[in-house]
Amino acid sequence: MFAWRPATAAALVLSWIPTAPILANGSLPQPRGEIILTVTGDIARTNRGDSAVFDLAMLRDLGEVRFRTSTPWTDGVHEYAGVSLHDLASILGVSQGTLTATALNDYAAEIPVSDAVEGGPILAYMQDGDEMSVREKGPLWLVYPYDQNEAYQTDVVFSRSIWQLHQIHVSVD
Amino acid sequence: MAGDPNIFRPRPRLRGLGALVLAAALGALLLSVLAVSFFASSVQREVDALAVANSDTTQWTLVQAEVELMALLVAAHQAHETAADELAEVRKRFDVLYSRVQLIEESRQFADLREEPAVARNIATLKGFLDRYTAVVDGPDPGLFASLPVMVTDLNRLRATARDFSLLGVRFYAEDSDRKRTAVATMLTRIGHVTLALVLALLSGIAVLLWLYRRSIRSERAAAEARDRLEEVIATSLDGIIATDAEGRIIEYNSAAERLFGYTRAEAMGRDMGELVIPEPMRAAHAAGLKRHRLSGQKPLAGRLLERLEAQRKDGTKCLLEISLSSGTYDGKHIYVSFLRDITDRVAAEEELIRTRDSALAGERAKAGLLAVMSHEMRTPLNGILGTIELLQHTRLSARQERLLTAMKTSAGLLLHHVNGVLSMSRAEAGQLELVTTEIDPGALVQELVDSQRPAIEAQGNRVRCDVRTAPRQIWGDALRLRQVILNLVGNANKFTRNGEILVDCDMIPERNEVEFRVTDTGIGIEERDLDRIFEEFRTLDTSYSRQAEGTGLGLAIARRLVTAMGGEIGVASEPGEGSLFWVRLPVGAPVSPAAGPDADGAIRPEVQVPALGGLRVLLVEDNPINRLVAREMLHAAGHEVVEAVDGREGVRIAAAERFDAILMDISMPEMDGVAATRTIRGQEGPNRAAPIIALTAHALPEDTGRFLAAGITETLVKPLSMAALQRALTGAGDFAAESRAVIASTFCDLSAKLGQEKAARLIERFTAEAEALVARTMAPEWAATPPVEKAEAVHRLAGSAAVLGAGQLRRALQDLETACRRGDAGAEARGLAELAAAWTLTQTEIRSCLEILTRA
Repeated sequence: MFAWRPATAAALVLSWIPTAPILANGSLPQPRGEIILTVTGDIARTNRGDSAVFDLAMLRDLGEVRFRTSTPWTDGVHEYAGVSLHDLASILGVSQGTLTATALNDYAAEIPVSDAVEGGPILAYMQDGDEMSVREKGPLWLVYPYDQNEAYQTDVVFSRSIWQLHQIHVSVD
Repeated sequence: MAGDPNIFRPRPRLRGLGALVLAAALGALLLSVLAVSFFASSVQREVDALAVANSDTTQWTLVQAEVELMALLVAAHQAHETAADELAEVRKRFDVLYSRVQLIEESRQFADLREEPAVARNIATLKGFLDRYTAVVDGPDPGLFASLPVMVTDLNRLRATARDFSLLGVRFYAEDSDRKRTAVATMLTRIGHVTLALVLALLSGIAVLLWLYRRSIRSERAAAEARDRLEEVIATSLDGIIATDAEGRIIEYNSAAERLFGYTRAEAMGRDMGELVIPEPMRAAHAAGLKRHRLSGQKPLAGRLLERLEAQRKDGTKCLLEISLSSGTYDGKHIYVSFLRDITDRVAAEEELIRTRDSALAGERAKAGLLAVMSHEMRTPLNGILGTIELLQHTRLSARQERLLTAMKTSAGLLLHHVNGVLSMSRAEAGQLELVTTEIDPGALVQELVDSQRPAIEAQGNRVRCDVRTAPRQIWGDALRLRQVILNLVGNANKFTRNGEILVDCDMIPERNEVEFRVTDTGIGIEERDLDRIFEEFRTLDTSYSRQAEGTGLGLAIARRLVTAMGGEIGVASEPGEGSLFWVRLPVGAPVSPAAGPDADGAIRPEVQVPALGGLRVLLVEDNPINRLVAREMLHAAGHEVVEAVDGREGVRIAAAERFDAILMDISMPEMDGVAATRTIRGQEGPNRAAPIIALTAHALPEDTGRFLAAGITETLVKPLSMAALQRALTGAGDFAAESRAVIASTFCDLSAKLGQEKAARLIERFTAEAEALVARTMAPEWAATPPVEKAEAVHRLAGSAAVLGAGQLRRALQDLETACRRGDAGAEARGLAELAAAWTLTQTEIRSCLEILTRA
């Protein structure tokens, strides 16, 4: 057993970073399309001032996760595709704290970073293979795999399932 | 009790009841639990539904519709007031509102709400607005800009609709939630009821369990008591008790078994019983028996199987056990319980007893055999002595010699009397006593006996009296034996009485139909302690007796045997110093057909003086020189001519060559005895085929007499030979009857041997019938008119039959008659007829007596 030191923890965190193309030069690229997500607060990487901004292509480059599930707000089961919150948090060097997600309609939800796990919620940008417009809860919708994990069928999780998401603020407690 | 396998069985009835109650309680409990869990899950669902309905997000969504409508209104208003570049905000807000309305229209959450007609109308109104403006919003900026004032107006009008929408929602969800709350309350009430039932069920279950527990405690205690009792019985049992399971392994072993076999309980438990105690050679049989019983699935052994078994102790010694086996069921398995008793000592004792008894019996037999042989052997020299004395008496003697010879004769006679006593004793012992029943006049018998004994009694200075006035006139029994018994009692009385009186009397005991003879004396009497012993063999009471009177001590024993054999009783009452009373009670008996009973014992036969006959030619066959000498001298003295043969073979040879008037034949001779010799003489063609043969024997048992007769012996004389007996026998020697009887008997025996006794008897009967018919015919008046030839032929036929049968006299008479008939000599025929009648009468009697004796033998 080795002693727990911050350096070791940092090394462990770094070692989890996926080998996505975006990381080739070690920094975030600049968005070329419409910016659909802005992340602010305590993040390790930025590409515009203190913020990290993403267009759809950049999010797609972070790796895509798909699952099928029903939701309380839709009729029937649909397939959702997007970047997992876990990958996003990893890219941005976020391992703890709270994510405050805000929607276009000014709805806001606080999501603990601990929710960002593999097999957990994704920032969905496609429903049944189609990109989602604002009228269809797009462009980003934080969808949990409700059907896969009963633990996600709670009101707290439902309240965190924010659609028309466009901004996340990271704060370390 | 200890062997009752029921002890081991539980009581199935009670157990069944308990199980039933327990099952019912468990069933009720299960039902309650199911009901509770069912209601609880219902409540869970209701509560969940309630939680979803109350969810803030739902309310928030509805209110948000109004908020987002206001946001669009503000954006549209601002864009219209300021500049065209604010149109993006208008579009964004339009899209957000659009998405909100679509959510309300589509979401599961609002399915119930959408059912409300007012809500549906509101949704339709909002949807209509959105549809109207979608094309404008999605179109180019100028068009949108131009539409903004109208849109603001429309939105202001829609504000009320959105507000209504929210309020309708709030009211709807409030009612819905009330409804659900009521349902939950009802459900909770039901749960309460069911829970109450459950608690009751649990309580009753506990009560049942408690009851069962108490009962099991009780029955356990009872079982323990029974077990204790049983264990005590087993432990204190004197018999070894070993219980085994079906495979023969020991599961119980008591302390008696420990003592019995030497193995401790610890050593024995679990071991195979067969290996432990059954000796090696019998183990296989034991195991096979056990297996057979097990495989055949036999029911438990009914009752007990008792047998003897050899077992082996720990130290290797063998012991003999009596084993009683029973089987039962314990815990659903067969068990065998053996009760074992060591009978080694008992069996040894039994064997010892048997050995003792056998040797005692053997001793008795040896004694009886010795007595018989000795008395027999003693009689032979006695015969010589007595015969010689008798011969001496016929010579010229001085007076002194005469006295000495008389003394000698008296002594020898007494000795013979003792020997005869012993002999008849041993015969009676051997069951050889044969009684001949005749009619008896008891009074006459007693009177005669007393008269004959009077001189001897008076010689002792005693007086004798006889009282037969009340005696019955006639009874049936063996006169000879009765006389012997009373004679013995009188002789005894005389022996033990000096200058006293002896009374012999006889009378009837009507109620018992018995006759009682009493001999009373005034002699020395008998001590009471001796009363029972005096009838035992060889019993002379004490030295004083011995001094006063001599004897073998057999007299009373013989008397008792004789009386018992006659079906009577003998007893005594006595007072020492006063005298004794001996009594004999005999059944009166019943007449039997008179039989030609042979006189077995010649000793007591009253001797009748027979005039000397003389002049006969006699063949004497006798191997003993002294006896031969005596017989020869006696025959010579009587004037007979004697030819001697020293054994049977010589006798047969001589008899074949010369004719004799009579043959005296000793029975027991080496090589060829008298019986065989007689049979040979009778069987061969010779001059003596029909001669009288007189047997001389020291032993004349009744069955011997039959055998002698069958062999053709005419008469039997029992030694010692006396002149008188010899003369009497020889007197009959020429007698037809003897000859006839002998020949008929001999012929009958031959026929019996060839044809079988039954057939021979029938043949003789037929002959008898023929003869009777002829005799009857000759006596009938028709006879005189019958032609002589016919007469002669009829007579001739019977003569042939008579010849075959050996009826010589009859045949001679018939031959004479036949001759007379053929000659026509009337005088000779008349004589012949008389001769025939006489011959037939005699022959008939002889045939009858022969048949009777022979068929009986």
